Amino acid sequence: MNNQNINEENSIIEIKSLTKFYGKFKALDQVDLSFPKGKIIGLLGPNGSGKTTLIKIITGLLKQYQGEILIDGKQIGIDTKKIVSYLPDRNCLPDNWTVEKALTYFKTFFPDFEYDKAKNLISQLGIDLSKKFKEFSKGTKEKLQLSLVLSRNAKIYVFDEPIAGVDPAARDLIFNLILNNYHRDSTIIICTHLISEVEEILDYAIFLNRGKVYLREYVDKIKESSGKSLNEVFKEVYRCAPIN
Amino acid sequence: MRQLIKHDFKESWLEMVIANACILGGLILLGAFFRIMFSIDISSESALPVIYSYVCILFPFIIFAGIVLAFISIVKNLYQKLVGNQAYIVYSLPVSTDALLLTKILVTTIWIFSIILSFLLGLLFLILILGDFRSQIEVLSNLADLLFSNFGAFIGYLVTIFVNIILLITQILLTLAILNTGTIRKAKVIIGLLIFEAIGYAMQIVKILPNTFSFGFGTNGEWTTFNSFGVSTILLSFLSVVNGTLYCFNIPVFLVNVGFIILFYFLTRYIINKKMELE
Repeated sequence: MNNQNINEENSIIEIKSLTKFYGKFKALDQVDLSFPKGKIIGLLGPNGSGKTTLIKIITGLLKQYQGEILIDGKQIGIDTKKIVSYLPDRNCLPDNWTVEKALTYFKTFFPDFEYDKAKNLISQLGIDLSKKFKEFSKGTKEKLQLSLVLSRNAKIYVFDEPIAGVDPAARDLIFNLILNNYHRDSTIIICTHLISEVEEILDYAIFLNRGKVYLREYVDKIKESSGKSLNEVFKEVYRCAPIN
Repeated sequence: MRQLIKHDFKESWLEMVIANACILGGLILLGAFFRIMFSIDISSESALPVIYSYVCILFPFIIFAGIVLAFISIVKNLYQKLVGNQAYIVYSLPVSTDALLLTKILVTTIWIFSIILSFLLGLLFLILILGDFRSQIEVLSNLADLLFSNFGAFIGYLVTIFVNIILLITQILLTLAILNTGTIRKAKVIIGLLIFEAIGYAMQIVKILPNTFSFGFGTNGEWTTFNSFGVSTILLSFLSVVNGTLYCFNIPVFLVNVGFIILFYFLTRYIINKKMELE
């Protein structure tokens, strides 16, 4: 199953021989990947498999690596940051900011940010724009950040563990937010270890383990050839594979 | 870059206004208090010495608190944006590293200048309040005459202060960039302080030579040299007790400081562009 049919024309991100060390620990090992355009892609794997490292390299937050990455044909830099909308795995907006201030910040620095769309999304969530971030729960902060990230008219959306640490009801809401609000010709990369939660929305899956690509394939093909759900395949793969 | 500057000002203005108000207000109130106390016979009122002691501590404390608040606010802002969680969004912005660094340097320089200005203004008011108003005006007018007659020296002082402020900021920025290289994962604040100190000591060692062979403009704007070279001079230079010559603009030290600013800036830029490992 370790094959894929994405040519360079159909791919939005091209990764060649990517290797990343943390000291002596090899976090990514000669990774070759193509991310198909306009699909919802799951970057899946257990904790420590290299998912977040890969995401951070794509978003330009990690600079020490070997190999080559092209995003929409460009090297990582200002041009790629213009087209990548990134939701980190933590709250990165200051607690003393109001929602209104966060909206203004995004509007100022991201030319593709749709202010009215973000305002509507946040209003739909029943969140008061004048409130400060410190007044919200972790789940609400997560939803707020997601609304801001989704309100960019980006070519690539990258969500690092968007559902970790929130209750199941909030997870559904987060997925609904993503599915109802992303731009249809954009690519979504969801990085998670909660496979059963994302299985239904994914078009393409990349399994990482110990810094290597274990499997990459369209979800339909995985299900068809294995006769199992993605979650079952995941469990099978990681039962056999040595986990860190 | 204009937007970045505007944003950074908006982010830090409240703390800096409070800090400036503490310094300026503290000095003015201290002057006013002493003025009142001088006109009262303390020994006739039993409670006054106690109040006097408390207020003597209170106002300098407010001034000191203002300076500490300004320093903490500046460092905290830089740390949160370049190392803390906010760095995730800062480094995801489609702006160049130069724009990011130059904004931080510019905004921080302006805030530090505002603190120095508040302190000097506060001192001026303190002098005016404490003394006889007319004679103080006369003293100040003489001071202004002296200043403008040695305008070169005055500019020399300003440039020296300006360069030292930028050097301090670039030293902080370099420290924060080093914290982001992924080699330091625990106790970042303490290790950051140690790195900052280490850079400072390294600078002092490099400055031994320019401090020893000093030449430049003296306090009266005159050309001054000092070039006796010996072990004791080097030792004294190292201990920052340079020599008996008072410079308002020491050319070798100035050039070395500018060199350090350029070095620190490009090192910081290089680390952010090539070595950054945001945790």
